Amino acid sequence: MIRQAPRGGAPLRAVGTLLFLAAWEAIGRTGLWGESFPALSTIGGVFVNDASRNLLLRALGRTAESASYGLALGAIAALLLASASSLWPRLRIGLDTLATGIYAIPTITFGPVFILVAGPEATPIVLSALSAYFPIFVALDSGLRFAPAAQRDLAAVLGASRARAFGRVDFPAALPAFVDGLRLAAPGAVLGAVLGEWFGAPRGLGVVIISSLQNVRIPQLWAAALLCVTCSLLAYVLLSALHRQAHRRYAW
Amino acid sequence: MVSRAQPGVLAGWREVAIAPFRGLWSLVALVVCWDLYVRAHGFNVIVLPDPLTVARALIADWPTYMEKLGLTMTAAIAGLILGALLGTIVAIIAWSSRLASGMVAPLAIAVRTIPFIVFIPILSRLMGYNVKMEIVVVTMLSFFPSFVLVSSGLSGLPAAASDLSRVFGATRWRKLVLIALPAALPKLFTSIRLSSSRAVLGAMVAEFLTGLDGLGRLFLLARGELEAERALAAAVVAAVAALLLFHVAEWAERRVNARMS
Repeated sequence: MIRQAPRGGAPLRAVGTLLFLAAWEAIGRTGLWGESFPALSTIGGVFVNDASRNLLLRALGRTAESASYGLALGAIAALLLASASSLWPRLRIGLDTLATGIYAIPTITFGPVFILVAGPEATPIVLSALSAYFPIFVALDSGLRFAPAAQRDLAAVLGASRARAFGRVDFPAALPAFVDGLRLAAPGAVLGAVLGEWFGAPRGLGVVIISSLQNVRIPQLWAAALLCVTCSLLAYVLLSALHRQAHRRYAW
Repeated sequence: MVSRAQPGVLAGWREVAIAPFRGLWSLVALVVCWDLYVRAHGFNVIVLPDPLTVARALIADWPTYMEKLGLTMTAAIAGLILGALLGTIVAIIAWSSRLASGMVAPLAIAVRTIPFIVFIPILSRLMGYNVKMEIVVVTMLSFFPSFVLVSSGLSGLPAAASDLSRVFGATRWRKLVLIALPAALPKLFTSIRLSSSRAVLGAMVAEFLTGLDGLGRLFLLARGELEAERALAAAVVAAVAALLLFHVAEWAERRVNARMS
């Protein structure tokens, strides 16, 4: 997967981030890019007001809930697809095509189908699952293929059936890859939830974004978008911690 | 790849002609499931049309769909290329200076964690509802993956190549042009493939949210008028176009990989 830029230490990174934030504040204060680009402090000010803070936090809760369900659903789908193509190798080529095909199709095109089939309340969850499953599937698929050969041989010698070998050898070996996939899928899950909300779900950050845009409440618009970012950053950090745990326990 | 017995000439031909389509059974199965689902629930056309109705709607108004598709894909491809170029340029700047590379390193985390499409409404506020905004949206989406992947390609040079260039006293510029850039080129094409579906998504969402002309708007209008079969036809057109773009990008990536390694 994507590697981090290897050079430059933590201090430089901190300087870069601080410069970015300072530039943002300065552009907002001076009004250089017009009033649609407010200073960070103005955006933060939205949270001082009780009413708008409550509105934003409730919406955040809703979106985070949809995204978590979506991530879980996507993980289950990825697990089924990857296990099937590991247990029945003849199916692999078709399942690969299906997985890549759905990934290559823009999520928005599934919107109307699921508004019709699943209803507006469930659409954020379904779209979130659809944009989350692919990284998990890819990670799991490669994880399942690279179980240590010695352990596989042992299972074969001991007379384990294909299914048993899968449960005892392949799957535990793929766990770190699975969690890695979850981590990479988290931002997609948040994005899918917001897309689903744009299609007509009643509540959530996506709804706040659209209504703030229509009512020209610019700081609130930014606050809602930045909460989406915070949400996926948090998910990433949490899953990274889980990833380290899984790696320590199951890596070989 | 699973190793298999060396095929004869006939089998080899079969491999080339049939292999690309062998995986399609799953997509056919998907359409059949859709049809069965509609039949089983006895939905009428307004709720969820069956595949045949959608195909008829598509054929009946084929020129319109193609025209809108042209608009959407132009914006998507223009943004995709612009973003890849911009990402490469910034990656080269970061590569050439330690200071710059340290400062833009947080971008690598940003690409993995920030759902950029969320910022489309804000960009439309900043730039107005026009095609320029749509292209900027796609540029932003494809910039980050290109930047990160090209950066890793530039700095992931084989040590031997680096040593060799030092022995011959190559300047930094010559090292960039002769060694680092060719090594990073496959990564650039990987990033274009990875961004291709996001590019179509970004363009369509921008049209959907702002009413700019294109497939996204067609989608918006069809939905507003409860013409589910037209909305689905627009979705199918977008899906096929996105798949084609993905495959073209994949093909280009393979070509570049074959030449560079």
